[in-house]
Amino acid sequence: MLTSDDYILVETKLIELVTPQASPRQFVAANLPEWIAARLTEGLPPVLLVQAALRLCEEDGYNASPPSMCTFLLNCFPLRPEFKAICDKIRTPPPALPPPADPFDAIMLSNKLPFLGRLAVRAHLRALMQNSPPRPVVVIKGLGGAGKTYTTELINHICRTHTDIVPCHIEVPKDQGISVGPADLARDIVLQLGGDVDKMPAQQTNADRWAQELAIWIVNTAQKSGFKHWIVLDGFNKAELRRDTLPLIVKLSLQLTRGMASRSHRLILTDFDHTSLPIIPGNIAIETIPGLGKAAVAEFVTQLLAAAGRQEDAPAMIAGVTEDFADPIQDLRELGGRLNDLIELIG
Amino acid sequence: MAAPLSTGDLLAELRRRTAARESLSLDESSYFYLLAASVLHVFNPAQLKPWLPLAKPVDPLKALLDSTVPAVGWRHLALRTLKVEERRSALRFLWNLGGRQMMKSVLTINSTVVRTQVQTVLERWINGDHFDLASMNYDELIGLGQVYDWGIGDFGGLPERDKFEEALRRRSAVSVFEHLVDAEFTGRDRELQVLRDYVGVVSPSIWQRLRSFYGLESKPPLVLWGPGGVGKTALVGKFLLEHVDAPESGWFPFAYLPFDSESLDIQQPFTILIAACDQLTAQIEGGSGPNNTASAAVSSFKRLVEVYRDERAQLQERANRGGRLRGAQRAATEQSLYIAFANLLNRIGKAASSQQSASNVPVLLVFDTFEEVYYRLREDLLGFWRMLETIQANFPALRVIIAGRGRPNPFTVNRQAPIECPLDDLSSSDAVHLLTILDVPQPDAVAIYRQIGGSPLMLRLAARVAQSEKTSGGIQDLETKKYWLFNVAPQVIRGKLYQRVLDHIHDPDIKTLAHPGMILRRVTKEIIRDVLAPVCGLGHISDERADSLFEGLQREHALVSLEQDDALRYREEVRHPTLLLMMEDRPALVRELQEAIITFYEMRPPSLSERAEEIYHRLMLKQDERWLQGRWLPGIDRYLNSAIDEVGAEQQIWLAQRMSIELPSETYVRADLASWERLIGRRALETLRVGDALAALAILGERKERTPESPLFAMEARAHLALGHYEEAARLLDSALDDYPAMGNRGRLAEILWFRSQAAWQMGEASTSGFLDQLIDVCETLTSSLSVVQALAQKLEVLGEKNAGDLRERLAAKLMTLPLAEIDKEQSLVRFALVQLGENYPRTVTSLISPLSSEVMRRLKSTKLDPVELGKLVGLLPDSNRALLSNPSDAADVFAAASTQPTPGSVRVIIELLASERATLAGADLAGLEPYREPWEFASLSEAMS
Repeated sequence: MLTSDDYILVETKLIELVTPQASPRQFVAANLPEWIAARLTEGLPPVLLVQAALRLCEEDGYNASPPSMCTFLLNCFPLRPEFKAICDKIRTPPPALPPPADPFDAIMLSNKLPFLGRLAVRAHLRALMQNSPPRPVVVIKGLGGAGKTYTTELINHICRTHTDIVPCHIEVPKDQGISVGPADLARDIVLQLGGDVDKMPAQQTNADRWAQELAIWIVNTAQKSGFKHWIVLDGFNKAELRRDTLPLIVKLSLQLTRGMASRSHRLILTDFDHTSLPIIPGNIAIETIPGLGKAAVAEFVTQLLAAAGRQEDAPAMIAGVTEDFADPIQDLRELGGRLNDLIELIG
Repeated sequence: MAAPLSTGDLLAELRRRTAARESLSLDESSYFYLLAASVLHVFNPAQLKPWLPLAKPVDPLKALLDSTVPAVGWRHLALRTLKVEERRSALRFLWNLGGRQMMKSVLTINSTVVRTQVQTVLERWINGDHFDLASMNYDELIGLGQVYDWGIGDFGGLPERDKFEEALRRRSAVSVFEHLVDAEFTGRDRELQVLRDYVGVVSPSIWQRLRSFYGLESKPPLVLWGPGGVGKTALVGKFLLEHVDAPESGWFPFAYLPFDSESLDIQQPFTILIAACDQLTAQIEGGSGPNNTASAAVSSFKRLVEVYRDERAQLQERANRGGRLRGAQRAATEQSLYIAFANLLNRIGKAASSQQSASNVPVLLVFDTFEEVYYRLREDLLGFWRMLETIQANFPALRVIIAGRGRPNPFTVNRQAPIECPLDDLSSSDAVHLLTILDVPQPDAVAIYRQIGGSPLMLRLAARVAQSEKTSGGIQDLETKKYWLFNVAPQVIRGKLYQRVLDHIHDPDIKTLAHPGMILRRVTKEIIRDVLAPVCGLGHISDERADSLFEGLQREHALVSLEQDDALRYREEVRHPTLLLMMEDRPALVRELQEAIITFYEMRPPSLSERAEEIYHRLMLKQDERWLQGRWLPGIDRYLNSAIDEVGAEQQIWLAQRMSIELPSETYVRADLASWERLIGRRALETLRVGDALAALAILGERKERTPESPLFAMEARAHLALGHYEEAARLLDSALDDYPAMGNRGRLAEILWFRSQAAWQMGEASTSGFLDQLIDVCETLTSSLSVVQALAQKLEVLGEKNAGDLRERLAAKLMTLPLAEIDKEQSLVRFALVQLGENYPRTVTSLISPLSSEVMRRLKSTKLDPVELGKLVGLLPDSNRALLSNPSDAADVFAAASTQPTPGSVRVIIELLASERATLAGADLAGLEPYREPWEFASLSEAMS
């Protein structure tokens, strides 16, 4: 329901609000719809409590009116205009395009972001649902802006349907890869898996073995969570990847493709040099995103406007959305922004 | 409800929002926050104070949301960091406003500063500190690197960027083996000189004159070997440290590759090359001139690795272009990669030469902990030796040091035997010197040396004991001689020393458990609670107590390391000697614990690591084979590598039938036929995997007799077929079929029939069809439909267009029964089958094409189809499909248009495009036979017998 940016704002503010409460769980439960509150796990620290509450609201989707997410946010922040604005955005369900039977085929995600084309990426991700996929590691490449990171929106959407899968997304900020060492990466992954970051193994041994211990710590945390996890490491390309962080990613790829962990958890790497992975050839699904053809965008806009009863506007809107773009369109982030605007504007 | 926007208004609003996104600018309040944040590496927006007081308060998180990102590694504290371009511009503003002083004053506004390494470096710069690159450790250099990226270098006060990059390169190289560096390294002058001579290092005075290494003609590997603890790794570390930064005697690029690292797989030599490439890259990247050339060579090598991976993946597929020559093609693909690596080393050597204005710089590969792979079948190491041979033949200045326990099995590289350098104990003077460095008083050191000899590991253990006990006259109560004459085995003495070290563990319960725990190799909280505590006299303990004992044991880093599944594993160098001691001193306890742990594991759901432990303990108890029956799981062999030396000869034979272990030749001679087949079969499979069919036949020919259902028939046939010996293959298989038991393994029978049909087909015999008919009948009785799909598809290929009868109907029906997992696993076979099925089965094609599409399109993207042929296919597309076509000259696009909404008309195009792969099943094994195979076949299966 929430876009990535809105989610960050919401999560951060909720953590700030909940942490100092005498009883964080009681506070959160009191502000959630009853049927959601009843499903809140006990004993979670504030950060995980907030994440759990948000996840439950996302799963509930548009089952209630207003949606549980709106109820929760407005109860917690009754006077904050930015949260009212977020609620206004998510209050109505996405346009009534013919829903696909399979969330992997969705062109309209539950957060009203469009996700067009990318058949190959969808196929690779769908294959990860198998117990023992032949290609358990997926690497997505492409030019900047071509939608590698955008793929996480599809993964989030899938996880809203397959609620036994919890995504974990770590993105390297541009030009800041040098600050992301193995400990930083491991800590953030474990946090998103619901683990205790204070239990990180100290570096008592050589760098290679420590990377191994960190990878094991991550996998152990994932196993104990009771969920399946899709771990997305985004942007660890040659320019950003630190030399001492690479062994951790290598070890993690091996740990996640062996033993019991390989039945539950998956690794998706965007913008990563897969030639550094010592995984048997044929066991990595590699996809280079070529950009999106304007024809596909045109078809989507036409469907969208038809669903809103404004099919006569299609030619103008297609032109408006795709102007200044080459064909195929490479800047999918901007395209996504324009399509999202259109969806909001036509209601 | 607001009225809907008109078309014009809608468009205008869209454009307005697009423009707003493109020109995001901050208001004044937000900018004040930005400036405050610019001197903070990471910060909590909720606690951030603005640079100047605000007229109207704003939420800092909202204000800076678009200018910041979550700080990786700090999410648990909800910290964020500025985007680099925002920070650069803010810092420049502050610098222009008032230089360092201004930044210092901004820094004081926020007193809660998170002290990261980057923050520390930034503040040092703000304070005007001088940066001495040579004295900065790796973390400090990394911090400095981030500060450079923020544009601070433009303001002066930092070392030149080039010098920083070089310092970071050096430190990266050191960090790879830093753990090996032993501050108390003593002696080994002779061995160090051996290493210097091997690599071609000259004395500093000669280096100053010649600036060249010497003797860079091809040399075989140098093998350093000796018992555990004798100091092989420390010696390597000392040598590398001497030369990683040695302007006075020259440095050389190197890669340190330990085989106890999970990332290296000796059966997959490419894993070694990519690890080496990554390390070497760090040492030469950056800079201009030859460094640039070396960087270009690295990029080129990486591209080749990508091609190699693709080619190998394709050759692994059941239906591919390679046909019966796929094994040879695989070997050729490997060779290309090795030659590419040699070229890379050449460039790297040149870059290193240029950087130090020298010539003839070698490149060194150090393979450590080789004992991890020594025990394996020599066939498993074939690929590795071949790799070294090829690389060295193309880059003679390659130097290879192999370090491991135990003398290696004989091997050659380019027909040269290795140079051996066995390591003995330290001399008396060096041993005593080491002890004194470790704070043992001189007289005690002499006495201790006389007790325990010169093994560095034992000397260190003794020094640890000496820290807690009085050691005048030596270590008290340490028996080193039996009956005053015979020396107690060094292992035993070591075990006793470890025991003494363990005696100093603080918590009595942990002390009680730590020692016997070593019998178990692997310890978890449940094992502590359910096995160790009861057997060791702690009785029933609660879950909480088990947790705290586990955590206490985990803190003993010298003893244990954390493994997967939250288990602790005892370090072998500690465990082994202590175990020997316990087996001698307390055999009843050892037995009791082993039996208890077997019972514990028996009741657990299967996991690889736990099943491996169960099997280990059964082998240690020398249990009869019937107790081991059915307990093996594929993949547990890697957990049992370290057990091989511990178990008896019979148990080693049992293991060798399931995993790769080199046994003495007399073992093979004495083995019964069935055991011999398992032992030899593995070796032959591995040889086939590396493409040496002749060698496989030689191995298989060591005995002529076979069990009636022998797996070796298929292997031998496969080798003959790969060599084009069709008649030999046919004779062999006819003989196998004649004696095949009526109630025998159906999968093996199918495999024999498959290869017999292949032999007949290659010889153009009419009997091909008959054999395929028999095969189809047998395959109908097998578990998976993949076998019969393959058999039917092959028959259709053999028959061509004539006399297909109902074969296509049967094939279509079988294809429709395949579960998605099998389609995904055998995509090449399904594609091949669809081609044989043809265009008249649109329902079958339509239902199967979706899971195949992404792979087909990927292949078509790299395939150059004849434009005229492609044009004809486009012409065949119905209008509805052609409307979806964006690029008619792109085969992948044509396929996408044909398959996105398949129509009967577009199915023909789909089939034609699939057929362009020109795949064949020649040289392939039969699919779907996994349930009929033995565990040892799976290790090399996917490549030897695809």
